[in-house]
Amino acid sequence: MKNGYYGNYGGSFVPETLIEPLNELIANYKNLKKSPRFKAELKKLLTDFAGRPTPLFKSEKLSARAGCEVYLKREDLAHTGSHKINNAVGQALVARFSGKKKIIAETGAGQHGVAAASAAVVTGLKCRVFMGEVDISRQQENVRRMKLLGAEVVPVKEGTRTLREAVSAAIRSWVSDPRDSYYLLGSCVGPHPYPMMVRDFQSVIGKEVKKQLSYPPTHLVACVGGGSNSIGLFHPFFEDRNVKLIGVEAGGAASINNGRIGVLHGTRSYLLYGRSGQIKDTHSVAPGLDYCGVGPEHSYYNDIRRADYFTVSDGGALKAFRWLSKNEGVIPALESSHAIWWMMNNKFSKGDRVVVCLSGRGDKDLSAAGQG
Amino acid sequence: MNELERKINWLKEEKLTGISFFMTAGYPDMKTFSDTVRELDRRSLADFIEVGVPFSDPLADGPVIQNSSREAIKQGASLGNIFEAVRKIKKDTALPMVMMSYLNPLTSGAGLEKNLKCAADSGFSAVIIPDLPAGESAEIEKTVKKPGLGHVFLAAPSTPDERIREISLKSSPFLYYVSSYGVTGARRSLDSKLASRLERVRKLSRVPVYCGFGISTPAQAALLKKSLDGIIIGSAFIDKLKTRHFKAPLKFAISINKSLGRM
Repeated sequence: MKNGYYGNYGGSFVPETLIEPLNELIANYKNLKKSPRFKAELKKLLTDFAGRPTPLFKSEKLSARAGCEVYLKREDLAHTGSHKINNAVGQALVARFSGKKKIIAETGAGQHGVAAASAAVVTGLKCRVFMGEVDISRQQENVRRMKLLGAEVVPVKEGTRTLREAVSAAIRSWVSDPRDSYYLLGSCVGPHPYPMMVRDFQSVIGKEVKKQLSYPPTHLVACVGGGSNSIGLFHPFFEDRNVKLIGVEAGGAASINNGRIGVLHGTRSYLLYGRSGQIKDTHSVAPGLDYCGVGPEHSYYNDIRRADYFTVSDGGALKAFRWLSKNEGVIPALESSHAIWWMMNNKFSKGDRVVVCLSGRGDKDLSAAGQG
Repeated sequence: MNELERKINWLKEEKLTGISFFMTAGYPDMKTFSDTVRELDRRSLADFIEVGVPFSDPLADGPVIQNSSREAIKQGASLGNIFEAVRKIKKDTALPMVMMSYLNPLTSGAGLEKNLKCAADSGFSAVIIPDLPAGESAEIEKTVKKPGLGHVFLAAPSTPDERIREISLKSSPFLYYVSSYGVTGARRSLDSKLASRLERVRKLSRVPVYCGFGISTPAQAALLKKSLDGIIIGSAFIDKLKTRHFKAPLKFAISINKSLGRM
């Protein structure tokens, strides 16, 4: 397979200006991955700063309902409230070890923005976060958190004024200053090496699950927007063909289920677009899933049938959101609620061990869920 | 050799600075777009036209081209009616046309191969694909050549010398040099080292070097005249089309022609 490709997917479809910075990043990352100093610092930050390992919680209520063992991987308990911190800390270290002074990040709901802002503080970097105006107005709390953490939040006024435009704005800003700034992309999308690097940093999720279960799981279930928490859970189990991998997309933003192969934001993958190639607007109650594309590795897993991808509607996610809060005392993020609802509505056998990734906490979603 | 190649070579032989304007197809509407191209041709104010296929998410473009693209899409511009408009224009004008398109519109609908064949049939001489860097896809590069289209690649300030040389070997009939870091659109000032960088790029390149991104005034054009083979002006020209008439853009085109000693 050509470098940076997953089957037919991936690649580096970017303006020429970014080719050299990407080549530098590929080389730096390759060296850092082997560097004992880098590995030691990353481990320390993940443990002492991000609070890893996160627990694997056996949900008695879900288990009783499904008639098998159901576990929740508690990424909601990680620092800043979601799995996003795993990647943010990893890449911020890459930036610092590469001699960069500032990081650029995009954010939809603000989860990655907050994670990036806090990772920037702990690694001593400046941080600038691009966020769509629409998202800014509906996620005020996260905007305040980012500002408190010293990040500059840049409102994106173009087009849909949501995550898709925020990614474009972040890339444009990076094109303007690729020598001093580092683009800290929040999901396993974008040009090579981002999908690989984000997957590597998120793989800590799956690796911990492997250690935490005494017997291997039979099913891994996770929500898929860009797909970073799911690829992090799935990837360490890729070779273990007895483990079923299940990705759950939002009904209104289901790139794998409803999209076609296309190119956006530097990568070739499944994408939602119309006949003349214009990107479609998406809608999901979960802002973290509200994106028109998906990581190239997921497209590949889909085509080789290594993972199966399903959809859950806004309504289903909201039901799971309330159910888990009432029955287990855990308020899940609306993103993760998609995975939970899929799990709650499918049949399992008695000996099954199902792990659902609870990618983030749902405090941010109270008003979206009508609980505010 | 197609008409664009002949034109580029002729300019080089005559030691003239080539002039091209970039226009978003269908902006401000298809008629004004076509009328403006015809007027540029009638008054010999351009050597070729770069026609932009509007895309919803143009990563390499600044606000002016983002807006013109959005406007053109809203009015229904698509590959189909762009080919149709260009076919009509080509019936009564001699101006060579270069198509600029991001990958997604170019590969959708009928598919890349058929779209490129239609482009060649309707009168385009070459394509520029800003999100396809040289070497990323041998398959797409091969598909572009099939119907006899030229393939213009970009080189940027971050591109190392060795790669500039390699890109120029693939790029035909000219190399598009990106003036500075950043997206398309006017800059407060151009990099003071741009002229010397261009001279270096010209030594490395096997084909003529045309420069674009951020060149917005006759004075800037005049400063670069000796260091390049031609210039491409996009945002500054499109900005004049806001008036929805070709008068203002033509006036601007005249000032550029004067500043480069072409009038």
